[in-house]
Amino acid sequence: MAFWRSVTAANFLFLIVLTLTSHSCRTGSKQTASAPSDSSATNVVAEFFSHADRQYETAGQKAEIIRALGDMLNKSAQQLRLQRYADYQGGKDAWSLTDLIERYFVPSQPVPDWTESSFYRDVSKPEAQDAIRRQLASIEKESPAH
Amino acid sequence: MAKCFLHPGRDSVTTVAAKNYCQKCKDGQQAAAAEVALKNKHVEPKSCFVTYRGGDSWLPLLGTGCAHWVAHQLDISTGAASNQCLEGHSIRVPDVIQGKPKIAIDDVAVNDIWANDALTHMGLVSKVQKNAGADAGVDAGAGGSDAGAGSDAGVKAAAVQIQITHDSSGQGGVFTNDFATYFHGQGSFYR
Repeated sequence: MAFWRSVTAANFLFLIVLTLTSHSCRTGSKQTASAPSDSSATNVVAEFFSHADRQYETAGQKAEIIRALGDMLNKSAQQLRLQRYADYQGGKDAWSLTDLIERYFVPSQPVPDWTESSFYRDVSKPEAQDAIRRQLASIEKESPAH
Repeated sequence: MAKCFLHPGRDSVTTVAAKNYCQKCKDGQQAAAAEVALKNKHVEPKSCFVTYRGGDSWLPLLGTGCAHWVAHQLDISTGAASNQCLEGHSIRVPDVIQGKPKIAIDDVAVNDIWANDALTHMGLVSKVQKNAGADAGVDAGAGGSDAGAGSDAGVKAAAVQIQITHDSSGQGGVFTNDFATYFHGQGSFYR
Protein backbone atom coordinates (compact mmCIF):
# COMPACT_ATOMS: atom_id res chain seq x y z
CA MET A 1 0.00 0.00 0.00
CA ALA A 2 2.80 2.32 0.99
CA PHE A 3 4.60 1.33 -2.22
CA TRP A 4 1.58 2.28 -4.40
CA ARG A 5 1.13 5.51 -2.50
CA SER A 6 4.77 6.42 -3.22
CA VAL A 7 4.41 5.43 -6.91
CA THR A 8 1.30 7.61 -7.23
CA ALA A 9 3.09 10.52 -5.52
CA ALA A 10 6.08 10.09 -7.82
CA ASN A 11 3.80 10.01 -10.87
CA PHE A 12 2.04 13.11 -9.63
CA LEU A 13 5.32 14.95 -9.16
CA PHE A 14 6.49 13.81 -12.61
CA LEU A 15 3.29 15.15 -14.16
CA ILE A 16 3.77 18.54 -12.47
CA VAL A 17 7.38 18.78 -13.69
CA LEU A 18 6.28 17.77 -17.21
CA THR A 19 3.52 20.37 -17.26
CA LEU A 20 5.78 23.16 -15.97
CA THR A 21 8.52 22.29 -18.46
CA SER A 22 6.09 22.20 -21.32
CA HIS A 23 4.56 25.57 -20.30
CA SER A 24 7.97 27.17 -19.90
CA CYS A 25 9.05 25.89 -23.33
CA ARG A 26 5.91 27.32 -24.94
CA THR A 27 6.41 30.68 -23.21
CA GLY A 28 10.07 30.75 -24.18
CA SER A 29 9.43 29.91 -27.80
CA LYS A 30 6.68 32.51 -27.97
CA GLN A 31 9.02 35.24 -26.66
CA THR A 32 11.88 34.36 -28.99
CA ALA A 33 9.54 34.04 -31.94
CA SER A 34 7.79 37.32 -31.34
CA ALA A 35 10.84 39.46 -30.56
CA PRO A 36 12.40 39.55 -34.03
CA SER A 37 8.99 39.78 -35.64
CA ASP A 38 8.08 42.83 -33.50
CA SER A 39 11.32 44.68 -34.17
CA SER A 40 11.17 44.05 -37.92
CA ALA A 41 7.45 44.87 -38.20
CA THR A 42 7.48 48.15 -36.27
CA ASN A 43 9.13 51.11 -37.91
CA VAL A 44 9.61 53.48 -34.99
CA VAL A 45 9.88 56.55 -37.21
CA ALA A 46 6.63 55.76 -39.02
CA GLU A 47 4.99 54.93 -35.68
CA PHE A 48 6.22 58.18 -34.12
CA PHE A 49 5.27 60.55 -36.95
CA SER A 50 1.91 58.86 -37.57
CA HIS A 51 0.83 59.68 -34.02
CA ALA A 52 2.61 62.95 -33.24
CA ASP A 53 1.34 66.51 -32.94
CA ARG A 54 3.58 69.42 -33.76
CA GLN A 55 3.98 72.03 -31.00
CA TYR A 56 5.84 75.17 -32.02
CA GLU A 57 5.35 78.89 -31.81
CA THR A 58 7.29 80.99 -34.29
CA ALA A 59 7.83 81.22 -38.05
CA GLY A 60 11.54 80.55 -37.48
CA GLN A 61 10.76 77.35 -35.60
CA LYS A 62 8.37 76.25 -38.35
CA ALA A 63 11.05 76.85 -41.00
CA GLU A 64 13.55 74.75 -39.06
CA ILE A 65 11.06 71.87 -38.66
CA ILE A 66 10.37 71.97 -42.42
CA ARG A 67 14.11 71.91 -43.12
CA ALA A 68 14.53 68.87 -40.86
CA LEU A 69 11.60 67.00 -42.45
CA GLY A 70 13.03 67.78 -45.90
CA ASP A 71 16.44 66.50 -44.83
CA MET A 72 14.86 63.24 -43.63
CA LEU A 73 13.46 62.74 -47.13
CA ASN A 74 16.63 63.65 -48.98
CA LYS A 75 19.66 62.66 -46.90
CA SER A 76 21.11 59.33 -45.83
CA ALA A 77 21.11 58.25 -42.19
CA GLN A 78 24.85 58.91 -42.09
CA GLN A 79 24.37 62.47 -43.39
CA LEU A 80 21.44 63.04 -41.02
CA ARG A 81 23.61 62.17 -38.01
CA LEU A 82 25.86 65.10 -38.90
CA GLN A 83 23.09 67.67 -39.47
CA ARG A 84 22.61 70.43 -36.91
CA TYR A 85 19.60 72.70 -36.44
CA ALA A 86 18.76 75.98 -34.74
CA ASP A 87 17.27 75.85 -31.23
CA TYR A 88 14.00 77.43 -30.04
CA GLN A 89 15.46 80.94 -30.10
CA GLY A 90 17.24 80.54 -33.44
CA GLY A 91 20.70 79.75 -32.04
CA LYS A 92 22.41 78.11 -35.00
CA ASP A 93 23.69 74.50 -35.04
CA ALA A 94 22.48 73.85 -31.49
CA TRP A 95 20.52 70.62 -31.95
CA SER A 96 20.91 67.27 -33.64
CA LEU A 97 18.01 65.97 -35.72
CA THR A 98 16.65 63.83 -32.89
CA ASP A 99 16.98 66.80 -30.50
CA LEU A 100 14.79 68.85 -32.83
CA ILE A 101 12.19 66.11 -33.23
CA GLU A 102 11.97 65.59 -29.48
CA ARG A 103 11.53 69.35 -28.87
CA TYR A 104 8.74 69.97 -31.36
CA PHE A 105 6.77 66.72 -31.70
CA VAL A 106 4.50 65.22 -29.05
CA PRO A 107 3.43 61.63 -29.73
CA SER A 108 -0.18 60.92 -28.76
CA GLN A 109 0.72 57.37 -27.80
CA PRO A 110 3.94 55.85 -26.41
CA VAL A 111 6.58 54.68 -28.90
CA PRO A 112 8.46 52.27 -26.61
CA ASP A 113 11.29 51.45 -29.03
CA TRP A 114 12.12 55.10 -29.77
CA THR A 115 15.88 55.54 -29.42
CA GLU A 116 18.48 57.38 -31.44
CA SER A 117 19.76 54.14 -32.97
CA SER A 118 16.28 52.86 -33.89
CA PHE A 119 15.49 56.28 -35.39
CA TYR A 120 18.50 56.22 -37.72
CA ARG A 121 17.86 52.53 -38.50
CA ASP A 122 14.32 53.23 -39.73
CA VAL A 123 14.27 56.80 -41.04
CA SER A 124 15.05 55.95 -44.68
CA LYS A 125 12.58 53.07 -44.97
CA PRO A 126 9.50 53.62 -47.19
CA GLU A 127 6.90 53.58 -44.38
CA ALA A 128 8.89 56.20 -42.46
CA GLN A 129 9.27 58.35 -45.56
CA ASP A 130 5.48 58.24 -46.10
CA ALA A 131 4.82 59.40 -42.54
CA ILE A 132 7.44 62.17 -42.87
CA ARG A 133 5.84 63.33 -46.13
CA ARG A 134 2.44 63.55 -44.39
CA GLN A 135 3.94 65.68 -41.59
CA LEU A 136 5.61 67.93 -44.16
CA ALA A 137 2.39 68.39 -46.14
CA SER A 138 0.50 69.31 -42.92
CA ILE A 139 3.01 71.79 -41.55
CA GLU A 140 3.39 73.58 -44.88
CA LYS A 141 -0.33 74.45 -44.78
CA GLU A 142 -0.44 75.85 -41.24
CA SER A 143 0.42 79.26 -39.78
CA PRO A 144 2.67 79.64 -36.75
CA ALA A 145 1.34 81.41 -33.66
CA HIS A 146 3.85 84.28 -33.97
CA MET B 1 5.25 51.03 5.08
CA ALA B 2 3.98 52.33 1.74
CA LYS B 3 5.54 50.77 -1.36
CA CYS B 4 6.62 52.28 -4.67
CA PHE B 5 3.77 52.59 -7.18
CA LEU B 6 6.06 51.27 -9.95
CA HIS B 7 8.29 48.91 -7.95
CA PRO B 8 6.14 47.20 -5.29
CA GLY B 9 9.21 45.51 -3.78
CA ARG B 10 10.71 48.84 -2.75
CA ASP B 11 9.76 51.18 0.07
CA SER B 12 8.28 54.54 -0.84
CA VAL B 13 10.27 57.67 -0.02
CA THR B 14 8.16 60.30 -1.75
CA THR B 15 4.60 60.90 -2.93
CA VAL B 16 3.67 62.82 -6.10
CA ALA B 17 0.04 63.32 -7.15
CA ALA B 18 -1.10 60.67 -4.65
CA LYS B 19 1.35 58.06 -6.01
CA ASN B 20 4.23 56.68 -3.94
CA TYR B 21 7.72 56.36 -5.41
CA CYS B 22 10.95 54.69 -4.24
CA GLN B 23 14.36 56.34 -3.90
CA LYS B 24 15.46 55.20 -7.39
CA CYS B 25 12.32 56.71 -8.92
CA LYS B 26 12.85 59.93 -6.97
CA ASP B 27 16.45 60.12 -8.19
CA GLY B 28 15.34 59.39 -11.77
CA GLN B 29 12.64 62.05 -11.64
CA GLN B 30 15.09 64.63 -10.31
CA ALA B 31 17.73 63.77 -12.94
CA ALA B 32 15.13 64.03 -15.73
CA ALA B 33 13.90 67.37 -14.34
CA ALA B 34 17.50 68.64 -14.31
CA GLU B 35 17.72 67.69 -17.99
CA VAL B 36 14.51 69.66 -18.65
CA ALA B 37 16.08 72.71 -16.98
CA LEU B 38 19.18 72.31 -19.13
CA LYS B 39 17.63 71.55 -22.52
CA ASN B 40 14.07 72.89 -22.32
CA LYS B 41 14.46 75.92 -20.10
CA HIS B 42 11.17 77.57 -21.09
CA VAL B 43 9.13 74.73 -19.55
CA GLU B 44 7.25 75.65 -16.36
CA PRO B 45 6.93 73.91 -13.99
CA LYS B 46 10.00 71.80 -14.74
CA SER B 47 10.02 69.24 -11.93
CA CYS B 48 7.01 67.30 -13.25
CA PHE B 49 7.80 67.51 -17.00
CA VAL B 50 9.18 63.97 -16.87
CA THR B 51 7.94 60.51 -17.78
CA TYR B 52 8.68 56.92 -16.75
CA ARG B 53 10.31 54.76 -19.43
CA GLY B 54 10.54 51.40 -17.66
CA GLY B 55 13.08 49.84 -15.31
CA ASP B 56 14.56 52.71 -13.33
CA SER B 57 14.54 55.06 -16.31
CA TRP B 58 12.93 58.50 -16.23
CA LEU B 59 13.23 60.97 -19.13
CA PRO B 60 12.05 64.51 -19.94
CA LEU B 61 8.70 64.63 -21.75
CA LEU B 62 8.82 65.40 -25.46
CA GLY B 63 7.63 68.67 -26.98
CA THR B 64 7.19 72.24 -25.83
CA GLY B 65 5.67 73.34 -22.53
CA CYS B 66 2.79 75.60 -23.64
CA ALA B 67 -0.05 73.11 -23.07
CA HIS B 68 1.54 71.79 -19.87
CA TRP B 69 1.70 75.30 -18.39
CA VAL B 70 -1.95 76.05 -19.23
CA ALA B 71 -3.01 72.64 -17.85
CA HIS B 72 -1.27 73.45 -14.56
CA GLN B 73 -2.87 76.89 -14.32
CA LEU B 74 -6.38 75.47 -14.85
CA ASP B 75 -5.80 72.04 -13.27
CA ILE B 76 -6.59 70.18 -16.51
CA SER B 77 -5.92 66.43 -16.68
CA THR B 78 -7.63 65.34 -19.90
CA GLY B 79 -6.08 62.84 -22.34
CA ALA B 80 -4.32 59.54 -21.86
CA ALA B 81 -2.12 58.97 -18.82
CA SER B 82 0.85 58.61 -21.16
CA ASN B 83 0.19 62.20 -22.28
CA GLN B 84 0.28 63.68 -18.79
CA CYS B 85 3.10 64.99 -16.65
CA LEU B 86 4.23 63.43 -13.39
CA GLU B 87 1.58 65.45 -11.56
CA GLY B 88 -1.12 64.24 -13.93
CA HIS B 89 -1.64 67.36 -16.05
CA SER B 90 -2.12 67.35 -19.83
CA ILE B 91 0.82 68.12 -22.12
CA ARG B 92 -0.84 68.24 -25.59
CA VAL B 93 -2.75 71.23 -26.99
CA PRO B 94 -5.73 69.15 -28.27
CA ASP B 95 -6.08 67.48 -24.86
CA VAL B 96 -6.19 70.81 -23.00
CA ILE B 97 -9.06 72.18 -25.13
CA GLN B 98 -10.86 68.83 -25.39
CA GLY B 99 -14.60 69.30 -24.76
CA LYS B 100 -14.30 73.06 -24.32
CA PRO B 101 -16.55 75.21 -26.54
CA LYS B 102 -15.14 78.17 -28.47
CA ILE B 103 -15.85 81.64 -27.09
CA ALA B 104 -16.62 84.65 -29.30
CA ILE B 105 -13.97 87.34 -29.02
CA ASP B 106 -16.51 89.78 -27.54
CA ASP B 107 -17.12 87.37 -24.66
CA VAL B 108 -13.48 86.58 -23.87
CA ALA B 109 -12.59 86.82 -20.18
CA VAL B 110 -9.49 86.38 -18.05
CA ASN B 111 -8.45 82.71 -17.75
CA ASP B 112 -10.05 81.68 -21.05
CA ILE B 113 -7.71 79.50 -23.11
CA TRP B 114 -6.30 80.76 -26.39
CA ALA B 115 -4.85 78.43 -29.06
CA ASN B 116 -3.63 79.30 -32.55
CA ASP B 117 -5.50 77.98 -35.61
CA ALA B 118 -3.06 75.11 -36.19
CA LEU B 119 -3.22 74.06 -32.51
CA THR B 120 0.57 74.19 -32.26
CA HIS B 121 0.65 76.74 -29.43
CA MET B 122 -1.57 77.98 -26.61
CA GLY B 123 -1.81 80.33 -23.65
CA LEU B 124 -4.19 81.92 -21.17
CA VAL B 125 -6.05 85.22 -21.39
CA SER B 126 -4.50 87.36 -18.67
CA LYS B 127 -6.11 90.73 -19.40
CA VAL B 128 -9.10 91.96 -21.41
CA GLN B 129 -9.74 95.62 -22.13
CA LYS B 130 -12.89 96.41 -24.08
CA ASN B 131 -13.06 99.51 -26.36
CA ALA B 132 -9.30 99.69 -26.10
CA GLY B 133 -7.76 102.81 -27.62
CA ALA B 134 -4.21 103.81 -28.41
CA ASP B 135 -3.55 104.33 -24.69
CA ALA B 136 -4.54 100.75 -23.82
CA GLY B 137 -2.78 99.40 -20.78
CA VAL B 138 -0.49 96.42 -20.79
CA ASP B 139 -0.23 93.80 -18.10
CA ALA B 140 3.36 92.74 -17.63
CA GLY B 141 2.23 89.35 -16.30
CA ALA B 142 4.83 86.75 -15.42
CA GLY B 143 7.39 87.80 -17.98
CA GLY B 144 7.85 90.50 -20.64
CA SER B 145 5.13 92.19 -22.64
CA ASP B 146 4.49 94.01 -25.85
CA ALA B 147 1.98 96.81 -26.38
CA GLY B 148 -0.99 96.53 -28.69
CA ALA B 149 -0.68 99.98 -30.28
CA GLY B 150 -0.35 99.88 -34.05
CA SER B 151 -2.27 96.62 -34.36
CA ASP B 152 -3.00 95.45 -37.89
CA ALA B 153 -5.58 92.93 -36.71
CA GLY B 154 -9.30 93.18 -37.50
CA VAL B 155 -11.75 95.67 -36.02
CA LYS B 156 -12.90 93.19 -33.35
CA ALA B 157 -9.40 92.48 -32.14
CA ALA B 158 -8.63 96.23 -32.04
CA ALA B 159 -11.82 97.02 -30.13
CA VAL B 160 -11.03 94.38 -27.52
CA GLN B 161 -7.45 94.40 -26.40
CA ILE B 162 -6.44 90.99 -25.11
CA GLN B 163 -3.23 89.96 -23.40
CA ILE B 164 -2.15 86.33 -23.60
CA THR B 165 0.23 84.84 -21.03
CA HIS B 166 1.94 81.75 -22.40
CA ASP B 167 4.86 79.41 -21.88
CA SER B 168 6.93 80.59 -24.81
CA SER B 169 9.66 78.40 -26.28
CA GLY B 170 10.60 81.29 -28.57
CA GLN B 171 11.15 83.69 -25.66
CA GLY B 172 12.42 81.13 -23.17
CA GLY B 173 9.83 81.22 -20.39
CA VAL B 174 6.38 82.44 -19.38
CA PHE B 175 5.66 85.75 -21.12
CA THR B 176 2.67 88.00 -21.74
CA ASN B 177 2.05 89.25 -25.27
CA ASP B 178 -0.64 91.12 -27.14
CA PHE B 179 -3.17 89.01 -29.04
CA ALA B 180 -3.53 91.45 -31.95
CA THR B 181 0.11 92.28 -32.52
CA TYR B 182 2.25 89.38 -31.31
CA PHE B 183 -0.22 86.65 -32.32
CA HIS B 184 -1.60 88.59 -35.30
CA GLY B 185 -5.17 88.22 -33.98
CA GLN B 186 -5.35 84.58 -35.10
CA GLY B 187 -6.63 81.57 -33.23
CA SER B 188 -9.62 80.80 -31.03
CA PHE B 189 -10.63 81.14 -27.39
CA TYR B 190 -12.01 78.28 -25.31
CA ARG B 191 -13.68 78.05 -21.89
